Amino acid sequence: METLVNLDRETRELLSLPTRQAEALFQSYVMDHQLVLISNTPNPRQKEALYELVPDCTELIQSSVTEDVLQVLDLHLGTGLSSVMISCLSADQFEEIMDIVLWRDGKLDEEALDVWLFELINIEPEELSDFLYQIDVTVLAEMLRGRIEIAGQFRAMQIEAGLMDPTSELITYAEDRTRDICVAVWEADEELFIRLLHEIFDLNEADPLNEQQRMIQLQSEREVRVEERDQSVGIQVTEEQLREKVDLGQLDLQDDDSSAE
Amino acid sequence: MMIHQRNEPTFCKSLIESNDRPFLQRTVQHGVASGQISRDLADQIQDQAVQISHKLITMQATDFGAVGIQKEIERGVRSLSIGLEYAANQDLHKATRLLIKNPLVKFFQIGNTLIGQLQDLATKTVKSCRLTPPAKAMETEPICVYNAYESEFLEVLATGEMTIGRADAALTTLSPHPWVISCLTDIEIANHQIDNLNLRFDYLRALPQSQIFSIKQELDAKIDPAKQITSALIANLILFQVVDFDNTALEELCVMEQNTEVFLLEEDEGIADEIRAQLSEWIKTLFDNQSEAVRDYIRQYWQFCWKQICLE
Repeated sequence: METLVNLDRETRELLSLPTRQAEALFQSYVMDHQLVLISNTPNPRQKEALYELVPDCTELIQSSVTEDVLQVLDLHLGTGLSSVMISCLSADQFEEIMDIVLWRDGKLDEEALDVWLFELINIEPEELSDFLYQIDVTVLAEMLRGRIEIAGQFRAMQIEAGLMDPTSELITYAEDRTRDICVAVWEADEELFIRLLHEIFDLNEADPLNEQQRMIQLQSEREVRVEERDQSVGIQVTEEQLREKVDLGQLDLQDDDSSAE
Repeated sequence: MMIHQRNEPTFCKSLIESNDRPFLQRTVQHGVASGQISRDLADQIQDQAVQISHKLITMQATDFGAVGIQKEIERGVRSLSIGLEYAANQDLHKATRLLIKNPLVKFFQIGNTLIGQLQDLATKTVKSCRLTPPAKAMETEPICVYNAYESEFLEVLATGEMTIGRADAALTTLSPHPWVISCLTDIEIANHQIDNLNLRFDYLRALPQSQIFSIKQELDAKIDPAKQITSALIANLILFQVVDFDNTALEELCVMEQNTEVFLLEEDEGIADEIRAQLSEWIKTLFDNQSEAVRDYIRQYWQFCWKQICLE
């Protein structure tokens, strides 16, 4: 408890110093201590202020626990300003964050898909491609579904034949940012772009899984990743357990000492 | 590069320590004081609570700011506490034994099931407690059985929060500061209030539907149509001994009170015995084929409406 109190005071005092002094002091700490201070403060704005005390916070962010980063990202979601911090994330961190923010109670959250699509579009194209590989193509398709239309009756053939690129006149976009995402996907990986179009327009005839089955597969893949991460930090309780409903008339509880007291 | 090792969920540990956990906290305190729960076990219980809250945040939170996280933690801890309270039947001794022998997640599941059922019931009640017009009056809008306060009570309850500290025949006020369902008493109160709404639904359905749906005065669906119907009915019964829903009787009753020495309420705002007996008699006559629970509720509701007539 004494340690916590001291850390609180240290953060408060550090952030009350003139900026130059605060930067010099914070940069004089070893990274582990910087991370402890960031994790210790429950206030996301203070976390952000601490990250800002180093000239390039990429290494600090990539060494941070994802929850700390997520709290700071959340401060600016929907404004496009989070993209600066997203650019600093490692691919694994990005994947972990997507596993948290895009899903709610085990299902894809449409509102979150929209918000994060907006954030992604503000990332520099060369950095964006790294992150795109961390998002399953089905999830990416969910983000873009309804925002893209392809004219003509033979779109499957046109896509297959490689006649489609994001600048094709046959494609209309709901907004520029959707076009930008498609361009970024194309520039990152043409094959990924083709797969994305297949997903968006349900053209995966060769894929034995229908959309619903694919979604179930996605959910279970995500759950496996989440459980692996949880186990690595000693969390034993699972999402499945927390979602489980019980029969209130028949509680399965151990109470073999009913005569006690 | 030095890698910061993750060794515990950081979302909530410090926050959870300051959380108000009525029954769970009392159980742990009881267990520690009676020597049944060691310090180590108390720490393990806290760690499990932290893990559950942490998982809930990653599963459900849409707001990762301090307030949003605090709210999720509160929800998790409250569910745990309610689950334990329910499983132990509010008995601290039993709760201590259960806490020692079972993983904490079991109590979360119980609490979450209880709260989930209540939320579902609130959502269902919003939809179901509406009188639908008889076939020949299909163009008429359904009549909501609940008033504006009760509608808000149900809507907030569907999100897992409470706005009332006790159940009433009809709600006339709500707390402006909803709170997360915190204990079994909250659940009992909410269930009781929903039962009252369903009893009111049965009562309104027992009235002649064609007459209700042909009332000339417009029913204000946003305010309290059930009270409007009942007040008019009571006024007609008192003045003319007829089942009618015409609002003019209500106006005549008020004029009568102003022009004569007749007082509709006692000085302490209680209902005069004579009126009370008269209302009971009408209820017995008109709702003889209803269950005792419905008739009991009608008595309470009519007395509520009578008081409202007199005070307005």
